[in-house]
Amino acid sequence: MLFRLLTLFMLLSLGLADARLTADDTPSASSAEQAASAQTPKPPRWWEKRDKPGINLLPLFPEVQGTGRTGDKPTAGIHYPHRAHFKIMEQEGDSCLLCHGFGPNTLTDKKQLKSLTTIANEPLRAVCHDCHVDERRGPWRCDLCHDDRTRIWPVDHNYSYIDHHGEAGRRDEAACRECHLDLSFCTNCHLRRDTAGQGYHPLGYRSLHGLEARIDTLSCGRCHNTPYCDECHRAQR
Amino acid sequence: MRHLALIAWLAWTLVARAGEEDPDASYDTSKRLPALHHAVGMSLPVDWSTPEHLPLGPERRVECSTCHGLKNLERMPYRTVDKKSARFLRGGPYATLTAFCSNCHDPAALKRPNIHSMLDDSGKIREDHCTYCHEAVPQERERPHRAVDYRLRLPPEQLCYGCHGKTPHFNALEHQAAKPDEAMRRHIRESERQQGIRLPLSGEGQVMCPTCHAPHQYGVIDERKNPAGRSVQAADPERGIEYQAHPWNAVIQADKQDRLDSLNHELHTTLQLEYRRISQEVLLRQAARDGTLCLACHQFRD
Repeated sequence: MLFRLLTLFMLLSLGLADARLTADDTPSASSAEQAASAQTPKPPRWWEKRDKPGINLLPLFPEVQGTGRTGDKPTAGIHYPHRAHFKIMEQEGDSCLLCHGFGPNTLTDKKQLKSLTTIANEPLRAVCHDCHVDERRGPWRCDLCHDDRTRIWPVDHNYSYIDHHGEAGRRDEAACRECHLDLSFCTNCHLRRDTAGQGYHPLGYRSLHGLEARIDTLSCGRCHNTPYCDECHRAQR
Repeated sequence: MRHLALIAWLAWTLVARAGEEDPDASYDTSKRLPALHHAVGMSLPVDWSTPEHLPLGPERRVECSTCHGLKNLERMPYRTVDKKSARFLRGGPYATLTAFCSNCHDPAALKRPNIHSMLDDSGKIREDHCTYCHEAVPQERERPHRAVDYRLRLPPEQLCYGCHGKTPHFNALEHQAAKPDEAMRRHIRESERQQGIRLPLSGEGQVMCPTCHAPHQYGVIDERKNPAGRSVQAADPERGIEYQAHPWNAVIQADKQDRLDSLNHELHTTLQLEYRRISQEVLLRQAARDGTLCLACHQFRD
């Protein structure tokens, strides 16, 4: 018995080595391209650079005024990558003057002018959101531009909201979707199966879901599509 | 030597004190008018008139009460005069001081010539326009000069204010006298070299009006020989800057309305903001409407 097992192991090892040798000796065209692309990695896009882990200490030191380069200054917790917008601004016929007002001024009172200029220079939520939220022509993840999400989220989010959001979500789902544009924001937790947590449904819900699904099928459809059901039910049909 | 120094100090002190204004003084006690004040006390010729709400005094004299609606203004200490009061200037409040002046003076008759319109219909230089800013008509315009050779009547960082306000457009204050750091200065020099333009800084290395604005009409200086002549070409100084309405205006005004309402409530004003796109720009060293001018100085990491 032992002899047979040893023989089988040796044969398997030889087979695997042969397979590796074959793959290494005859590289295909696609693997050559992959190797070339691996040597010259694509430059990361600006939001990918921002995803790199690091400790942002600027919020602790509001008096820090950046490193001297335009755009480095922390401004109202909003990051606006200027270069990333050059092309689209040109296509749209917009320019720096859309946000940085240089229109004619007749005010001579410095205090009034300073206050008005501050408002003129403040970020234009409506203009930004027109592309990034309403039309989603640009990346729409909030934290790509809003450095500190606590500045933009509703006050009730400050207090263990993750444990108490269910009722509000059922009451006004549209309100959630004003910011949480991707359904994956919900399903990343509610549909994950690698934890023992309750998720969206109570424990054991799989055994009990038939009745509720018959009563209110639409509510299932808010998160699940037909193939999701078919994964189990197809075998029974 | 010590006596000489003492005498000099005393003389300086007396001169300095003479120039100071006593904050408790009124016109009645000092008989001094604030700086840039209209003349008072003179009688107007019979063929001159003022509107009904600006009454002349006895013998058709211009008095404090001709223009000011505050009672006993001449007896008020200057520091207590409420210049923001609607009655400070009769018929007020006025958006600009010149709007008040135009009650009596015809703005068209007093309008200054547009000295930036430097070429006549035949393309010849109007040399009398040069001497508004230069002590003499510069003859060698085809080569770059050192600043001192321009023979300007005032330092270039002050010259424009002789005719223009300090804040003719938004963000002017934010740029004036700003001192670019070494990285920005390097970028400015690089832009000058690449684009064949001049972006002059003041003697102190600060941004000034002529850093962005070209004072000479396109064609006065040959841009091929002197980069100071390079500017936005299609510009017509007589027409000036022109704007066109744009749908973003409604979006932007709605976006800022709450903040504007709050500011207006605080300052008791009716300030507004609007957005229009530039359809024609004049006297700029590069186009601002597409951002080229801005990027000649500003650079961004991402």
